[in-house]
Amino acid sequence: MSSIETSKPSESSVDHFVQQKYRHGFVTDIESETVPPGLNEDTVRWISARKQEPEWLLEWRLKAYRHWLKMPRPRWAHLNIDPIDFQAISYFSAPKSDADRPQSLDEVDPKLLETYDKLGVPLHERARLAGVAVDAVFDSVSVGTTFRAELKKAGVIFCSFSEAVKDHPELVRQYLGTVVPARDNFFAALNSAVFSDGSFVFIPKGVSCPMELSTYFRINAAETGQFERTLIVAEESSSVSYLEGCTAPMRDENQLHAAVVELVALDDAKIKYSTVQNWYPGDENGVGGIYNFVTKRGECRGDRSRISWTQVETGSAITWKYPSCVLRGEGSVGEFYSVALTNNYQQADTGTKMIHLGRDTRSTIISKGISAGKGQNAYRGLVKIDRKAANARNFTQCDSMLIGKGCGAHTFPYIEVGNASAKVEHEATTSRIGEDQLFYCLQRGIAEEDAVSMIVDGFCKQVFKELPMEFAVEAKALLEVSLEGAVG
Amino acid sequence: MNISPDIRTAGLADRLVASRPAELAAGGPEWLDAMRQVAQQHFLQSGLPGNRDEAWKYTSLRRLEQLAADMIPPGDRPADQAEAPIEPMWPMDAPGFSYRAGHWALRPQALPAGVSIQTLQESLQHADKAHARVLRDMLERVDVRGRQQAFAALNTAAMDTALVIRVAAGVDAGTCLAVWQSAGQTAAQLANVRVLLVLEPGARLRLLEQFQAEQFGDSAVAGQAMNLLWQAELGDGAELSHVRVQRDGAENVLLTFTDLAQQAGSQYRYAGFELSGGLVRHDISSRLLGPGAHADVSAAFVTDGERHVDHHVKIDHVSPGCSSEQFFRGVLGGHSRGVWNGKAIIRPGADGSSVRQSNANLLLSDLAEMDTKPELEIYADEVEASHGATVGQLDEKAVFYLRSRGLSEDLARRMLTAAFCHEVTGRLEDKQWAERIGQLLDEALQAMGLKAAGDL
Amino acid sequence: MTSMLSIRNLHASVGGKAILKGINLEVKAGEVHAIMGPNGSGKSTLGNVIAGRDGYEVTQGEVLYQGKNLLELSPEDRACEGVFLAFQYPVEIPGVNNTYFLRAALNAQRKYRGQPELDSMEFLRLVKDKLEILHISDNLLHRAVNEGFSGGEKKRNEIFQMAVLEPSLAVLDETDSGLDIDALRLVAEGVNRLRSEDRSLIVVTHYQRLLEYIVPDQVHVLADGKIAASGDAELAVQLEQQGYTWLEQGGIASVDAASGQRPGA
Repeated sequence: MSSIETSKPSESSVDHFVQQKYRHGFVTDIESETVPPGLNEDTVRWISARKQEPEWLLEWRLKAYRHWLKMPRPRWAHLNIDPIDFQAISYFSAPKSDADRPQSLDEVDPKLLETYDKLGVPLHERARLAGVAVDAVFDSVSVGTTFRAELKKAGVIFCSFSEAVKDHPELVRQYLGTVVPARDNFFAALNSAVFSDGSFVFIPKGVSCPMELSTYFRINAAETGQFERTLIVAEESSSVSYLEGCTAPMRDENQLHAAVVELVALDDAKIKYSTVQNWYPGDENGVGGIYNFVTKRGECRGDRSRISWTQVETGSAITWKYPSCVLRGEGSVGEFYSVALTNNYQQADTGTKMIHLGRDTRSTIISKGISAGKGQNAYRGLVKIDRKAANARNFTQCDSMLIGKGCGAHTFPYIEVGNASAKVEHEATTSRIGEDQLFYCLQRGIAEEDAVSMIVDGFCKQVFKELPMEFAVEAKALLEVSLEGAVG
Repeated sequence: MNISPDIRTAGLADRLVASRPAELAAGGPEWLDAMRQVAQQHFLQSGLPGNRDEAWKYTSLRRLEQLAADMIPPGDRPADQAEAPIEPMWPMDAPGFSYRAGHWALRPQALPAGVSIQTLQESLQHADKAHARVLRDMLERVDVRGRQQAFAALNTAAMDTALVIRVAAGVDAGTCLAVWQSAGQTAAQLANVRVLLVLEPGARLRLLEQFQAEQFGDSAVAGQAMNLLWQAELGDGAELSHVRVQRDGAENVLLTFTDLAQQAGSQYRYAGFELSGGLVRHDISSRLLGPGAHADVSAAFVTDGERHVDHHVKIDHVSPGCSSEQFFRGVLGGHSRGVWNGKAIIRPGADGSSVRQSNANLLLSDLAEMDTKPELEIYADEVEASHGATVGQLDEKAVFYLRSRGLSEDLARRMLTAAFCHEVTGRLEDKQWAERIGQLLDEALQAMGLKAAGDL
Repeated sequence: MTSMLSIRNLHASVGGKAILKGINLEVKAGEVHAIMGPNGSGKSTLGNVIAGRDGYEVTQGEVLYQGKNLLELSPEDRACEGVFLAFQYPVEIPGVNNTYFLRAALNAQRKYRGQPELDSMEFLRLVKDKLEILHISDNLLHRAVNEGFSGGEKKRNEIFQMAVLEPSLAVLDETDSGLDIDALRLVAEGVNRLRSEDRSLIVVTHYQRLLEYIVPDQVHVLADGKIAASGDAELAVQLEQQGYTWLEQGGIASVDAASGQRPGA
């Protein structure tokens, strides 16, 4: 963390923030089985045993755990993080009913279904109408995956990670940790040791997944961390679009979310991964909120493969995530579209890495950062063109908008070019929300708050248009809620 | 962080200290001696920076390490040749000074009234109280703690030569020349030179630095190393125009740290032209302390072979209404490496700031590497900031356009590459200087053989 | 005729510098007033003060709009009350669709007046009608607000917005600047179509040219923050022939009586 201090609050037409309402801040009162706080080898063994995992996976976890013990916590990000007591966190929490796991959604605890209804996640009949297959992860375990039968017909595997370990161990073993090795970084190592559940997707050769796949993550229990792991494998000439949404209750203490997502795209495969992250951001005084320390990486392993990350980050007290693409296959394509909004005392250090290894690889980065209140928003990115990556291309555009006096917007792009035929372009701008634009809207009769969200929405357009339709609507609404009271 | 320096660089640090006189030059004020002792301790404790240190991530000190293996202490320098001023490669009828192997000399041209160049010792002895205070403050301001500050610590500890240039309030000093000649001798040496530049309120100075090597290109000559630290204090409304033309030996190590404090309404304009050198790194840092201060920092570099050219710029907007611009162009061939890290910080309250950063680079060889990082840290909201960075090749449409007009492809590429670098000379106010420097740039481009570009 | 706008002894400053130094102006419903004057005389400031732009500080005087104190309303409430400013330099708002923007504006105004909001079908019908009347191509609808518009397109978009929002008082701030003669005629025709008994227009312009197409009821000449002269359309012709320097030499004062200036009448 740099030594710069943020300024004291001051008044102006657009920086007076009133309390925003976090829509998803309810707590679901259900019985859950939660392991006592603390982390040691026994915790890791307990989780593995609880999930009836094979020996190799336990060994993999233990290796990760032992390595994690030796790793220092990363400090390079432009973030102010209170020390985390890893012994005060519970590493496993599951709704009790998981003991005799529901066979179909009809057997799922109605309270849980109600929770997902409140979240607007169509777990049940509505899923059928929406035509989106959903896996819902509640605290540490997956509580239900919809549309499984239909997907199965197409040959697509979409299930919880735990089920995948049981039903498709060979696939999990083949791909687990091959994109994000267990020792990759501090939080990835922690996740590898204690991950509880997550989603697994496998799209076989030549199959275009017949529907959008979606996972909703929710942290419910107090004092728990959530450590899910998602693995998506797209075989040759297959394609899939995957959506991820996250919410958590309002709690005064910070909760840790350290997920790992690995994507593998083989020849001509396409993976589109969209996230709307709305973890509880803490209150207007910066109390509480989720620490969102996530490692997301995709590898374009095959020629002409394509991985596209789209993220809308409006939640979390602290966001530390860099969805990245390793462009190994010739002619492979990586994309990163991001909107990150920080309001009140939220901090975000987010961006992407595009590692060009193969010939004719291409990448695009569009990042839109919005800082309001006392929010600190940093874009951190790496574009690396390897010596062998002839004709690689990258275009990066990285814009920041400031709304309010006490906020900050920072840009740290690293560009490393080792091949003379590469073309890399990086552009960035930072400015206050346009006073002229605001006045223009006001003059036409539009209220200031609506004008702000209209301008911000326009600012984010390039990213929103990359989102699947249902998500785009949600993202826009979320942005509006997050900006609520941004003017006064 | 308490990480002990690795053995390799720690050994190097010892050798670098050993290569300077065993005792710190006596006779200075006590506070200065104490400051140098402290700096030496810091240097030996922290050792040299490496790729784990953010600001040194891309700068390999291997070349310095090689030179350090058989470095002789500065005290062993031949004292001859040094008494007479050295003529610059680009002759000019202007006052100033020259430096070679631990010795400096004033040029014969008379300095204008109100302008002085003295050693630090002379300066401290004869200066009025206020000026002495200014000098002491400047010296004390240098951060010597930690690995990333190792060269500042070494410079403070050793300081084999320390000069003070002073331009009195309201005086227009005209052009002043600084000629840095690396010695053509068979043993390597490391020079730690400090220059303090004080421009009092309303003063103006045009500073032209020329770096040149004796027996340029002769392989019998050992590489030389210089650790040069400029500190400049620009008073209210002062204007410093700073041009640097560097054609140092291709085996040499040239580390320069230019550190400025700018008061209200002051202006700093820098244009650097890095045409040779082995390991060349220039850190330029300015704090815009008073309202309305302006810093404009630009450079062009041409590098090939195994050379390394590095710029780290940090402009810190502390006061409102300040503006800064960074404009860098690089052409890289051979196995060379270029680094650019431009940073602008806008502190809380520095409203009405404007920042522009631009860095464009041409890679002419598959083995060349360019690492660029334009950074913005913004804590105020009334701000306009933008940056752009590109790494690539010449615009093929432009190449074709020229060829369609009858130019050979080779010539077309040469012209466009030259034009790319001339974006920096074009920013110079003095058109005669721009023309002369343009010629030097063209020579450097020709020397690296632009033909390679056609083979891509 | 009822009073639309009544400005009395208006003083305003920008960044501490006095720009308007005592303006008196009466505009009745259905009237078209032209405000002319040299650069820097305060023409645009007047429009911005009426619209309520930040940074334009009223230091003295009052502005009554349909009998209400306009100065105490927020800019958006003024718009909802029916005050429209056609900007001299309409700003670009990237990513915000022109149709979406205009519908949001219209519905905000309708809501304010207690009218039901229009759904997208109704709105589209309205918009199509207006486009037809103004001879504007509908490709304007699909683009972001003013983004990448030519100078002429921006000005036409302003008039189009005015047609949709149907204000009671419209201030056209140098709507003619930067337009070639054909574009100028199109814009003027559009404006003329919008003239009606219950709508007043204030046309701010540097040149008389626009007034050949939009014939004003009254012409006022602004100089150094004050109305130096008022008259009928003839005054504009006279100004065009003799230029503003003539005005500075006090020449116009003699015309005042002849053209019957009616301050505050």
